[in-house]
Amino acid sequence: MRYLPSSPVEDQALLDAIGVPDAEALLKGIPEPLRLRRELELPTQSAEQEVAWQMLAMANRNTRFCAQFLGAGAYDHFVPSAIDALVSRQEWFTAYTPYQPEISQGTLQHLFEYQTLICDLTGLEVTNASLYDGGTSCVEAALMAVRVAKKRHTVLVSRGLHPLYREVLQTNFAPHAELNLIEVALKDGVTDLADLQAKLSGDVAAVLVGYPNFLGAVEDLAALAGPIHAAGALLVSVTQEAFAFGWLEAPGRVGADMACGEAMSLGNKPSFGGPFLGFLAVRDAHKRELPGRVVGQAKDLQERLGYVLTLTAREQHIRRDKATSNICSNQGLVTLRANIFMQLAGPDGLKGLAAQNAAKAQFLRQRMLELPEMEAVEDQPFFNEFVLRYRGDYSALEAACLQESLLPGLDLGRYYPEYQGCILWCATELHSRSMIESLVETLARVPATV
Amino acid sequence: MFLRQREPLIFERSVPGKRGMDLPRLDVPEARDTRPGHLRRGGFDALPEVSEVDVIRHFTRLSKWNYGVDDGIYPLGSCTMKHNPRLNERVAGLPAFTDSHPMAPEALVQGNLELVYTLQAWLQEITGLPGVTLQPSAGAAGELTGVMLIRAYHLSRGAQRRVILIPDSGHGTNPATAAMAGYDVVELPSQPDGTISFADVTDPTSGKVRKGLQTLVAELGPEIAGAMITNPNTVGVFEYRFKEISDLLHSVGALVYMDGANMNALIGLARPGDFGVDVMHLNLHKTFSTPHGGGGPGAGPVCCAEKLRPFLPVPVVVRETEEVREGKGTAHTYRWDWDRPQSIGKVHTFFGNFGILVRALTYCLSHGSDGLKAATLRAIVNANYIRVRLQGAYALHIDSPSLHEVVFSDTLQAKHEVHTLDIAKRLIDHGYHPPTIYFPLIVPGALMIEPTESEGKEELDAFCDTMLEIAREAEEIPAALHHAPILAPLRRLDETTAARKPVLRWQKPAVLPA
Amino acid sequence: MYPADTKYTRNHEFLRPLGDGTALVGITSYAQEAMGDVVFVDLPEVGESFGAGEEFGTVESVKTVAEIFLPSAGEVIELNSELEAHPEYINEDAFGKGWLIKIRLAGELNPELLDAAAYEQLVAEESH
Repeated sequence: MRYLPSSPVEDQALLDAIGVPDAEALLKGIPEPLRLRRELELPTQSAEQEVAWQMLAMANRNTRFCAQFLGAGAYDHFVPSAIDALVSRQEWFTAYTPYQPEISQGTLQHLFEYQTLICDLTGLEVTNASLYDGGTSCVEAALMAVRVAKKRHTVLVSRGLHPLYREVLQTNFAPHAELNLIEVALKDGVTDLADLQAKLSGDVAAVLVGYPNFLGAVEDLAALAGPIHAAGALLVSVTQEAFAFGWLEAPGRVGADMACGEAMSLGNKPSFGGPFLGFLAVRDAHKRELPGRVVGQAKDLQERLGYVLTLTAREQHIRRDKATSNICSNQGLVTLRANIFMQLAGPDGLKGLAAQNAAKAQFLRQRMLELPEMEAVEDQPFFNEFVLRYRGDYSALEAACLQESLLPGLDLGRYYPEYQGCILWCATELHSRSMIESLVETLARVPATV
Repeated sequence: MFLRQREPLIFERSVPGKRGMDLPRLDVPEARDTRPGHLRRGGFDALPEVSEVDVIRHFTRLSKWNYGVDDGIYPLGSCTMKHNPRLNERVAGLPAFTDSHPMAPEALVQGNLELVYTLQAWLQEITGLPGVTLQPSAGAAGELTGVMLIRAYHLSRGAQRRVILIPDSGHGTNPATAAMAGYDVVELPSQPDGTISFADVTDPTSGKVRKGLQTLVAELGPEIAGAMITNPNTVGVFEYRFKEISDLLHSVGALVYMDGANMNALIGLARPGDFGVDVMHLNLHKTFSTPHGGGGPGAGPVCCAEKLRPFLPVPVVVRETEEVREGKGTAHTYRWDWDRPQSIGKVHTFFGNFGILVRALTYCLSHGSDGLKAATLRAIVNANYIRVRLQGAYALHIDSPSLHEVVFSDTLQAKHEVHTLDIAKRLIDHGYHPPTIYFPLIVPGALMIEPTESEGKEELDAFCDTMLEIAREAEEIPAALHHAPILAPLRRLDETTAARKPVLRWQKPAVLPA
Repeated sequence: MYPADTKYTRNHEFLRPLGDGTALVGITSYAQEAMGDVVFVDLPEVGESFGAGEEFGTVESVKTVAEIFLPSAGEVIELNSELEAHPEYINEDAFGKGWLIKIRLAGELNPELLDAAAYEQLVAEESH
């Protein structure tokens, strides 16, 4: 087997040195009744060529598209070639967690730079070396807010937050009988201020608001921050499309106390939803409650600057049942992709890409509204996603798009009954004008409903 | 391996006007600015202005300050740092996988659903447990999912159990997980051989009595929701009374969770589902060769017994088998089943770290049933070879047979005032990544070595020769170890000041230095 | 070896009555040595009250975090504000400038507290 260093000569030499006749003799520690005394009922080993063929055939059973107009938490962006090239270096992708700093300065310095840039994008002061994804970052943010608030047990969640993030929140809050998750209603496609004010109380630790929200709308964090802070609670902005940070002001500068969400857009493809990149940035005063790994500067014995994992006492391997979280890993390689992306883009690149995304989405919306079947819903400012009502039949629309190798937007009614018949569309810098025109022409040809 | 010069922070390379990315021409009208004024992006304080060359050089140089699995043995106990096959990377990079969208209709991502189904089938057979979810993003996430399954199970039977039993040798994620799931943790003492003690254990110095499994089950009975047990345990020894432990817990209605971090010693030899485990997690980034990536991403699938299946996270993949077609074999279609009223919900936004699942299935297909078993046996042989070569020079704290890892203690070196930390740092000078140190806590000055099956005899000998050399150094020139590493790019770092006065990001200097 | 005017707990906290119904509370020199370099201290707020043996804060070092328990019931009336900038005072002078909090004692002094001699013996046993 090509990955095993076995040969009769070598195997024998090892066994002789150990002093046993065969490997079986080393298994006495496993009681005989517990042994599996048959082969695993699975296919036997295969050559590289055979496996490659089998996996390629499997991959080809996915439908491929010329263009995907679907966002909803996973965005199709251009990935610069430098990223794959750098990340394929074995020193980056095979390396272990940097617990031994003297032999891991590459990873540690990269993470320090990454942390710096996430703070820059969010306008907050401290962040960790990443969390698993957008949904779980909301969980960590909410639990952290409860720890910071000390005697408050309620977290308010805007209905505009990604529906699957809300499900992950529910699942993770369920074991905490003393904690409450309460939904705040939407009005005109954004968080309903009146409903929020009605639900704010002395027991609310934090309020989670999408920025932009799942429907693509830009929520006014500054307007929400006032009543939230007056009630002594924390405002947590949740951003599922990190490109928005090139378009919208940093949440930390417009009233957010914590910013979390999904940064997969920075250098990744949709990848069927993972591995993605959760982030959580907070104020300096709260840093000791921050879950996850954190990298800090340190000096060595010769006063030279280096980097180490720090504030480790909060983590599971020391704190055990009193840890801020059980999280043991970060998204490692995905942070590297994001870091490289942000450095290649720079301030002008991030702003420029964001402007292009906004332009493409506005153009798509404008052209769609020229179709008789499409109708505007609300009139909120949006970034690269928006909602339109479709008076036709979604399955007919979907079939027509598939025929042209186009993946349409999301049928929203499945997640928001009040938006039955609406579609969530996304356009990014990847969508050329001709692709957009092609989509619109395709929709124009969908047979009208009887 | 190491570069001589220090590569500065990228921010120090930033020069106004440089760019690393060109934007495509905008072929639609510019966006109208619909943003409220105060929500318009202002500036950035740290994003650097550098060229693509700067970035490529930066990350290439930085990489040379890292140690990877391709550089040599990575003897980290409990981490299973085995070879990361390049085929796995090639397959994971196929555009048909990387372009696929998680919210696309399931009819359009049949290849992905087939992958999920197939990997699950492999894990079912390997573990002997019929229920599987691939959603958890890491081992710790898998632990939490598994414990939440236990919780849901008890709630469905109208029971509010409040305790989880965890051995003192367990990984820190175990009690952290139990606490996150709302449970109280009660510790199980270990016997001198590292396995769970049924009997009470009296501390020889303080005289304090720690209740063993027998007493705790008798006293707490129906309050126990379950136990989280690593097997083989964290000193590499198989919990030989596992079936008895499981039977005892089952007798009071408690469930058994197995931490599968050490599955590299079991695949093909024993199946957790056969020896009393109700639910467990696997670490794909350990046993199944997916890369460590400098700390992630991992994947922590959970496998469970039939009685826990209703509670698995949604959605669950279902295979519909169509008719056998002449000459074309059986056609299958796959769909997601979201209609699971007893499900605990979702533990990941989408379906888990899919890119990692692709790599793991590729690993399985390459090895096959025979290759997987051969890998397990070789991992055990390699660990025992190291044990035999080092056991005179290093103290074996626990005498039981080792499976895939061996734990030494620094007792012999302590006589010369040399400790585990010094030995670890000195290994760096010799060009190796240190083994796992100071874990598990039940072994003082633990030095845990797991070579994995990837190491050939030459590599093992080179490593052992070095370890023996260090043992000699400890006797003859202990000062060299106290000051180690001397040859790495940096000496030992002041972690105290880093924690007292944390500097966690770069900030533009406010005033230029004089 | 250990200050005679001070009482001790089995968990290595100390309590020094100041004669006016108040007392200083901290961790002992033995505790700080076992913990290593202290990096951070999490203290309660002035005005909070705790019973004997109740957890009132944590002391964090690079390698561990220890809960600290109040040796005798009382109300927190003062915190050692120097510790935020100088957690190392606990390592340098645990019984002196490394004090953690000052309390107003509530009721009788906890009879289970050890005197200096008994504490010295406890430390001798634990150091084995």
